[in-house]
Amino acid sequence: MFLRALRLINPMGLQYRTFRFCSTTQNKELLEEVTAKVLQVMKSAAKCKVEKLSEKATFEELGFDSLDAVEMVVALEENFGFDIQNEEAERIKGVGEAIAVFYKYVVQRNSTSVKQ
Amino acid sequence: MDKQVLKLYKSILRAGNRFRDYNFREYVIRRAKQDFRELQNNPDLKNKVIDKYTKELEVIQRQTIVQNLYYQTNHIIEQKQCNN
Repeated sequence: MFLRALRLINPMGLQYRTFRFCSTTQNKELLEEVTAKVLQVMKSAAKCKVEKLSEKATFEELGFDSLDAVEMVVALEENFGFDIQNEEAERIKGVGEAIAVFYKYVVQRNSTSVKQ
Repeated sequence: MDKQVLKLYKSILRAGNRFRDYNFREYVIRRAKQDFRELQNNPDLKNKVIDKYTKELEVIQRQTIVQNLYYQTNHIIEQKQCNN
């Protein structure tokens, strides 16, 4: 009902939002794949509070300290098969940031492989 | 925890993961996790741990190259993990 009301106020608003983040179906599928992988790696950590696990959760909410955060980033790098830059890794403080960074790298890798 | 310590920890874990041999990989990662956890509980050990692992990092990086030359087959635990 809220969505219907929103469409009345701004009919193009919702469509514009989805277009901005997922311009193609492929990118949307890729994002879902990356999100699923990140959540799977987080779940596999013994310390993780699974009931609080979501795309918006921070490492603190999930019960991770700074060392656990480093271990998570390294586990994600192993899972995805590439290393990320230290500056970007330092900025990862939660699930959402991890998804954003690894999605960016996956898209970059796919675009360079297509060019070749 | 200090950024320098976290950076070193990450480098050790990354270098340790490069061992193809299960035993070496698990040993390096387990020891690093133990020592850095101890550092978290006992911050006085900071300089000692940083010195130790700065030298260890070079050793690990060298040893990954040498050990991977002699790697044959994966450990039975890894085979079972693959099957599962």
